[in-house]
Amino acid sequence: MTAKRWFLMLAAAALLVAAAVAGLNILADPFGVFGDRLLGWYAYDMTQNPKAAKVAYIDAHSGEYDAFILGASGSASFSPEKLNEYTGLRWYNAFNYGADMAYTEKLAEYLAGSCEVRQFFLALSLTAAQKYEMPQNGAIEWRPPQLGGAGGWFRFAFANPRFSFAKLRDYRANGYLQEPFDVFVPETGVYDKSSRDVEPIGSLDAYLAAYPEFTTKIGVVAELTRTDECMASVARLKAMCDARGIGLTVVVPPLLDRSLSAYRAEDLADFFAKLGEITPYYDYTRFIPSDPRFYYDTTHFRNCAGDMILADIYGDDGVYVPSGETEETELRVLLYHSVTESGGEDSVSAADFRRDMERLRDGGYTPVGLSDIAGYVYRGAELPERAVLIRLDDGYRDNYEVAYPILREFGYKAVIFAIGVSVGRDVYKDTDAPITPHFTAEEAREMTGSGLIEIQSHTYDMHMVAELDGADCRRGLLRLDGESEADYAAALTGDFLRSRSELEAATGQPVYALAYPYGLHDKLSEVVLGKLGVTATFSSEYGVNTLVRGLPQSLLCLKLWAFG
Amino acid sequence: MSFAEPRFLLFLPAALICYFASPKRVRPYTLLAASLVFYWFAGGVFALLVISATAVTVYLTALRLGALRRSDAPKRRRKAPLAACLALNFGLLFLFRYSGRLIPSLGLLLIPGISFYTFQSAGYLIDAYRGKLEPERNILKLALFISFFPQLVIGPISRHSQIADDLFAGHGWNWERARGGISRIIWGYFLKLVIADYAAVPVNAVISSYQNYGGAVIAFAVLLYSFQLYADFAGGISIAIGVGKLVGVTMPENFAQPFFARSLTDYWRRWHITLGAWLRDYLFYSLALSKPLGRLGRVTRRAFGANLGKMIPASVATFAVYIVMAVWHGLSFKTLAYGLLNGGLITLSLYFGPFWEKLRRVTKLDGGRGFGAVFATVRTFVLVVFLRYFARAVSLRAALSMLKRTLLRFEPRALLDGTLGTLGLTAGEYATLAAAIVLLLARDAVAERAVKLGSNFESRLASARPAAQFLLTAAVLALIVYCGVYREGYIASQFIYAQY
Amino acid sequence: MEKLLEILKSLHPRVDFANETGLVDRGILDSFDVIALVGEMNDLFGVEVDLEYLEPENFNTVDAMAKLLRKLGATL
Repeated sequence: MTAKRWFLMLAAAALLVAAAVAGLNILADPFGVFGDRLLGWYAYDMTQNPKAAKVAYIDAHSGEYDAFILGASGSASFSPEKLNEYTGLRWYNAFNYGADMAYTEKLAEYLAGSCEVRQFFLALSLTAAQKYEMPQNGAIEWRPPQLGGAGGWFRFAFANPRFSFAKLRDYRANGYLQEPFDVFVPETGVYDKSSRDVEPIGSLDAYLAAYPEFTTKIGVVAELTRTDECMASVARLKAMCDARGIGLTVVVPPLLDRSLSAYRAEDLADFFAKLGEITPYYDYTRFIPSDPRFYYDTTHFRNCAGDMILADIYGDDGVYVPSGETEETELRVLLYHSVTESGGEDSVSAADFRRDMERLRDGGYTPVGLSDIAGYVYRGAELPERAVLIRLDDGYRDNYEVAYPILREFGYKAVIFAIGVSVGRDVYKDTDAPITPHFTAEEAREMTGSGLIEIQSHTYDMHMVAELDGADCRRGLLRLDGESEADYAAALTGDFLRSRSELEAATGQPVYALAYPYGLHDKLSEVVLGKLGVTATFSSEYGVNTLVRGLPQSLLCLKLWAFG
Repeated sequence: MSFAEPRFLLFLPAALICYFASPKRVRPYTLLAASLVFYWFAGGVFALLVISATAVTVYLTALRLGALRRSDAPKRRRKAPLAACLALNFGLLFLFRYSGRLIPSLGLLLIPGISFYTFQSAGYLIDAYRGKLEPERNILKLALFISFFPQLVIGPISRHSQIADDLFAGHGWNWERARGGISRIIWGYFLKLVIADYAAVPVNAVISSYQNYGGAVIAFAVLLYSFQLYADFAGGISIAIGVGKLVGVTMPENFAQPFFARSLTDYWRRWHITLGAWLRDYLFYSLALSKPLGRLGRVTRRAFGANLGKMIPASVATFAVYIVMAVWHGLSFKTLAYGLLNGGLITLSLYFGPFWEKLRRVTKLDGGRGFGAVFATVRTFVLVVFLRYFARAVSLRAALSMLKRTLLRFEPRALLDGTLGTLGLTAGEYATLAAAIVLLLARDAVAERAVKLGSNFESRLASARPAAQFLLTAAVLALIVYCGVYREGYIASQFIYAQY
Repeated sequence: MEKLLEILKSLHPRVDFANETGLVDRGILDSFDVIALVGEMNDLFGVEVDLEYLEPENFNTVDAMAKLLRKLGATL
């Protein structure tokens, strides 16, 4: 090969390598910039670079949204679905973690130009006055080409191919649960908090033990050094909204006291004063209790807190909003299965049951129902001190024949968790094996009709018995070995939906609680049930429960009382 | 400034454009200007001052030596200026290289490449003394010889006779030469970015805390270090030679497939060839054929007989060479041990030479062919890796400790149980590294074979099938881009030898 | 001439010195051989082979070595 031809070959090889890099980056599209046509995995892209990916997503769905939530991660917990309900518009949460006001302003301009925007909702965190026009460190912070990011499409096409390889690798490893690489829900733009939203929460001490970051000392004073530039951006945003007839709601989101106290009083006063000169705003910095349980971590408040704020803005009285300190109370759960006249190995005798009821009465305990505790948490209703929830698992006929009359006598409420497949049966499913008889649908309706008994789910057919089910036996409602996450989610969903519909048809009561068979539960099952609207769950661990007004997670994995 | 820094990648094309755009007679001066700019980036104004001091003193002394020689002055008179200039420049070298060691408060006054250019200019001076060349009349040309930027911070150490003509000829662009140059530059970056920088990660991890690892892992690290050092050094040399080629300067090779050496002596003729040649021509012969050693030789021959007696002056000179070579790498107990070990082993092989010869004839293990050759190569390789313990460990005590662990607490299980995964490289990175090392060894094997057959390696490469060349080039470029350009958190790690 | 060949043969018995043309360039004689050779030459022929004569050209062939010795005043 002559030297000149060699140089041509070299150029060709270099071009091939460049094309390979660009081709990989465009096809795998780890930042969503090129439309992610191959994998369409926007949840991943947004996690990598929310600025680029969200703009790409919105562009791909332009015309579907006409209102946007803006800001940094202080805006993450505001629900577009709730806003849709309250305003009738079609909202999308376009927040970006780490975004400063300079970027938010540019984004707003772009959105106003490319969509028919009717409203903006801006959550202006105090950090917006600390960081302004931050340097872009690496591909994960590059601005999207549509917003004039330096280098534009070219830069993304030649980003480090390791991002693309990582995306392909993670795609294969992607499971049902939210992982560190897919923290967004692309359809709404919020964080995927499906796992955190179903974590059981109890006492403050337990929460702090699990999340010690809330107790570390903040040594340094935080300075609001960029307030003027931040407010200038807000002013320009306001002006643009006024000029285009776009409504602008400005909210300063909640902060824990420990975070708030890191700022100087003068800086805060200056911040709010300057903001007030530009636009009306809502100051929610001290709106929710400064209780770590209302926060995912030291800087992000929970979705339920976001819902409270929206309810306050739009005057929704159906949502409870705590004021000042956290309001909490203790709940004990008493578990029974079978209650028979004479008692026995697997059942409590009527005499013992009656004696337990007397002890409750003498001890000053008040049995409450499921709707009572749900009312306390969701609507701030009252609960008596020393509340006890009497729980009867499996749905045996003796509950109806023996326990129910005693409860009626005392006027005590109880919750029965019935196994769907066994309702009205005395043999095990389609075998001939005899089992303790279970009450029928009619008997269920009679009990619930009294107003004392609520009947909830103990699954439809996920309370299997090893000796009778043999090889197909699940352990409680957990995933079988070798069952894929997707298949399991479908199975559990199907099971619960059937359980719920049959029970609701039988009793006319809503079913929204579930007691875990054998007390077995894991993150995957909790997330699946959470998505199905199960708001209260019961486990078999022992302990005293703490119910917190306004905190839905305090109704999860309720523990048993060792009533000895 | 290291070759792998982005700054160099901007500097080089700029310097080349200036070079080719200059008229022929101006080109050497463009090269000098480029070299001074390069050195200013590398070491600042202070370094420029120091190298100028060397250039000026060597220039003046060489002219004086030439004049003395022409006037047939006696040897004693001619020796004085030589000794003075050498003392001054080696004194500067000693001061800047080792002062930090002896007087810690002086800190690290880094004069990049001082070892290289001091040796190179000393060689010029001694050649002038020996009448092997005409002293340069143009100080700028001499300055270019001393500071020529491709070889300034990493070598090879060239002789005046080897590169002077080309250096001052102002060669223009030539497609063939350019092809050779660019190929070598690409190959050099491949060695540096794909092998050396990655091999460094587990090596550093293990060596810096060797107490936490079993002998097998330590041995693995030292083995890997042998490849790292080779790739790093040979890579830098390849780039240097390639850049030289682009401007028409053919610099001497510094490596000749060292891992294919058949004996330790052979190894030192294949590794850092120009330093070895320099030490041979300016230290070894001078010492071995000097009057004092000659007298020693006569004494020992009378005392110990002809064979052993002859060996003693040779081994004194040998030790001197390897100690200087070791100290060239650094002044510490471990480098001294390294030098003594090498010198000792080579002296032993000298002494036992006839014995091995007889053994080979008896067992038919001819070092030249077949099994004998393989055995000799492997044995030498193991010996070289053993010696590297002293080269790489943080101190002499650490080296001995590491050796003890290797021999007494081998723990081979550690190689398979995932320990290697904790050293900073992923499985994919290990695989790429292994493949790259295999490619390097393959290339060396082909080159070695070419030497055997007396053919030219580069022309063989050039005549390979175009499709194969294209694929190989694309693969090498892809690896350079992926491992080098796109190395996350990539910071150009300085060439190991550039501190010399 | 024979004396020279004797010395060379004693260093490397199996090399064909008469016909070799690259004794130094091809690495057949290494630096130890050279100083041993020079030592013998100095003793046997009563000359003083100076450093400046240690050029590859002077040692690559037997003839070149002989030429050097004659130049230095030896009788071959």
